[in-house]
Amino acid sequence: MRRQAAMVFLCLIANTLAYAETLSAPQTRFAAVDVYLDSGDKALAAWQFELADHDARIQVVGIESGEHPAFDEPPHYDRDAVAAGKADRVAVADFSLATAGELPKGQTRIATVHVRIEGDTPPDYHIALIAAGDTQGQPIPAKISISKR
Amino acid sequence: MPEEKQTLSDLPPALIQGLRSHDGATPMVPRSVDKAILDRAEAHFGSRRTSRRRWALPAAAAAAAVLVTVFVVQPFEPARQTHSIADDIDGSGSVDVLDAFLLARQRVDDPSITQARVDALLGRIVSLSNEEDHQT
Repeated sequence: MRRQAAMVFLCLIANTLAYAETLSAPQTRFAAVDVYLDSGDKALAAWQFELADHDARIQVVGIESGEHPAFDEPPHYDRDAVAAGKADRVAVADFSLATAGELPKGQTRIATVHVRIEGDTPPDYHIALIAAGDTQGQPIPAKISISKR
Repeated sequence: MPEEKQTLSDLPPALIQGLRSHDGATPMVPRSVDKAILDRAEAHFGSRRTSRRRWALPAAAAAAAVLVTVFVVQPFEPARQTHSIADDIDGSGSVDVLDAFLLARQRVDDPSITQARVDALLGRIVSLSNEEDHQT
């Protein structure tokens, strides 16, 4: 009888310790950030942006191409840093040599950034449009935005 | 040994007189000579200190000018500093995807421009370890 009571007591302690460990361990989850660019009535031939978290609690784990056929290939980014788990921010760029009629106009999703988030606090994303250009390589006024999911 | 037991009275008087005169000869530096030496030393080393002080102000001013230049006139922008001017195809002063785009367009008419060069430029543009390379 004493032995059984001791076993139950030990099990309770083990469960309590395991639960405490899950409480103290940092929460990790994954999320996706859709990046949109609105080029107005201009054909979008080239773009470049940078995405970061103000608190640097994200790790970029992958990047998807945009929705338009002119940008259906994966965009350019630092794959080595992402593969090494060292990308707490990312610079992404792509261009297309297609004709104006084959390029997107207005708002289009140019990329989706997949991130791993450490902690319970939602990331405070910072997105910056570095460049957007038309078919002549001329800068165009464009608006960049993100949508979290 | 008989020599060791000799006393002064056993020595010749001339030798005794000579030894006594040596014992009493204490070298004396006259006060005037002492002061002259001190004055000259002070003048010599004092001028050295003045010389150092003369350089201290310009040196401090030069150091301050360098610091002002580095921190105020050219503030640190690690993300935007050095890059090959050759990469700034459009001459905008910054190297970004528009330069890679123009290089790729030039490649259509200029076979000397390789796809590898375009890819390398794109790689530098998005590199996280070389973000300082974004601008010339």
